[in-house]
Amino acid sequence: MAGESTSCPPGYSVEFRDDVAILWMNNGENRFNIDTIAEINRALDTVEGSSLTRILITTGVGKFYSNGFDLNWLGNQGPEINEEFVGRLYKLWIRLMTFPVPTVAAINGHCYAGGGLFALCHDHRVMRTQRGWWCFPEIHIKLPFRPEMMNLLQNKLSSPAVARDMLLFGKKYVAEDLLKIDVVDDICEQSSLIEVAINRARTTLGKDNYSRDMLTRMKEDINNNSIERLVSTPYYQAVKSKL
Amino acid sequence: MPELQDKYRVEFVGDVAILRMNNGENRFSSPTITAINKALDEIEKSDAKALITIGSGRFYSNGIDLKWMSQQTADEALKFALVPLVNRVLTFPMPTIAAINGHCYAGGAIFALAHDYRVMRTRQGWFCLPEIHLKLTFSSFKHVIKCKIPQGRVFTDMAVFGKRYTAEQVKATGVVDDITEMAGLMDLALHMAKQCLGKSGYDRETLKILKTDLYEDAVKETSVGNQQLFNIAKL
Repeated sequence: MAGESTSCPPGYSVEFRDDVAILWMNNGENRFNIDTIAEINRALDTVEGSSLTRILITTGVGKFYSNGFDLNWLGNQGPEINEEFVGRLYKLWIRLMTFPVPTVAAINGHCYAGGGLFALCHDHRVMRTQRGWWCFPEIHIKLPFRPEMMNLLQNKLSSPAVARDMLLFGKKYVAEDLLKIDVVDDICEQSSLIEVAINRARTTLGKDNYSRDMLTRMKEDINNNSIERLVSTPYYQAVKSKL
Repeated sequence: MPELQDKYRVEFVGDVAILRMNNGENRFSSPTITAINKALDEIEKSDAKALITIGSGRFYSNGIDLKWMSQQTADEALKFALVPLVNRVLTFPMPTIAAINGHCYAGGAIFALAHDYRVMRTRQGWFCLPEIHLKLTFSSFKHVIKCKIPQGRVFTDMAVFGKRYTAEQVKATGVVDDITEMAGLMDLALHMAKQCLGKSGYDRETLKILKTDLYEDAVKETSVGNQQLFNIAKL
């Protein structure tokens, strides 16, 4: 099957292929703002509501997996909206980190900043070769992470040296680099990306599948440190009970 | 003390500052820490974009000057400022590289770990955290060690059981980034600095914030007002 869906609708949509759900992000740079977060959540609702689904793949269309926060939009909002955005973002990360089925980020292109964070909230990452950079450019754009974001990122990276290069010095990586440092599990050509992502999830699923409840609880336990940090922020607390 | 300051001299190679420690075993006492801080002050005031520290002869640093320490009164010992110095290096507002030219033991290894990068010469010199063998704890440095040494086997061997490493061995752990023969060590360090800096270097303020957040627990533990007195009574 082709890795790219040229008939993919614009925006965020879910495609079901047997027991696999694919969340297609077809929104240009796939940046995060309050509206796009809401659309992603609606898509995730659809996936969760499908009891036959046992795997979630997320992927972008074209040159971008995600370039991170919608900084242009954020710059035009007041502090209240900025804070609400952060709270809803944290909720989304927690939701993804504890999603009740195995998740794979199929990185089809550029994956920057908040996009990298989003990808790291998945159980697995696979990436296409020959195009697309992975980078946390915060040092270069002089926009430090919030401490709870830094904490989450550190928990997801394999060694102090990787954290130093990636988070402090904003190094750029291609797929081959990420494979070497265990940030991605598989790399392949773009045309095989979805297939490779599904295979990675199937390997994880094994024969017996998982109870959704158990998987969520296990993910909550393992990510306990990061989740507590995010939950304890005023941003999260302010949106905790909002839809 | 001008003669002592001479042993901790700063030189500049382009926009890289080099702090040369030329004081025998380069052990830490209050006077030597004062000299190092003066050198770091000079570097921060300059336009330098990266810092390399290096020892001389057979030693990078063998850690705390225990003999000096045993001669201090309790009050004087309290003022011993290795903990704040480690904090300062940990959050230094430019990329830092420890060029380990020889033995790097205990407090010297912790000082090296506080840097962003480590390179080491081959064929001479051990890298070691021998605290267990000296019946010392890491006290205020336990988070520095945790945030710089990979978890699992490496941490167990290096930090808990005080294993001694050659350059090749410590490179294999990832704790040292690259190794080369002594004659090429400074060039290697300069090359790493250049590679790290890229075209434009880094904004000092942003880098300091990032380091403070990335090494959060270590920074908190080593910040002024939070120092634990070393178990010097045991020495």
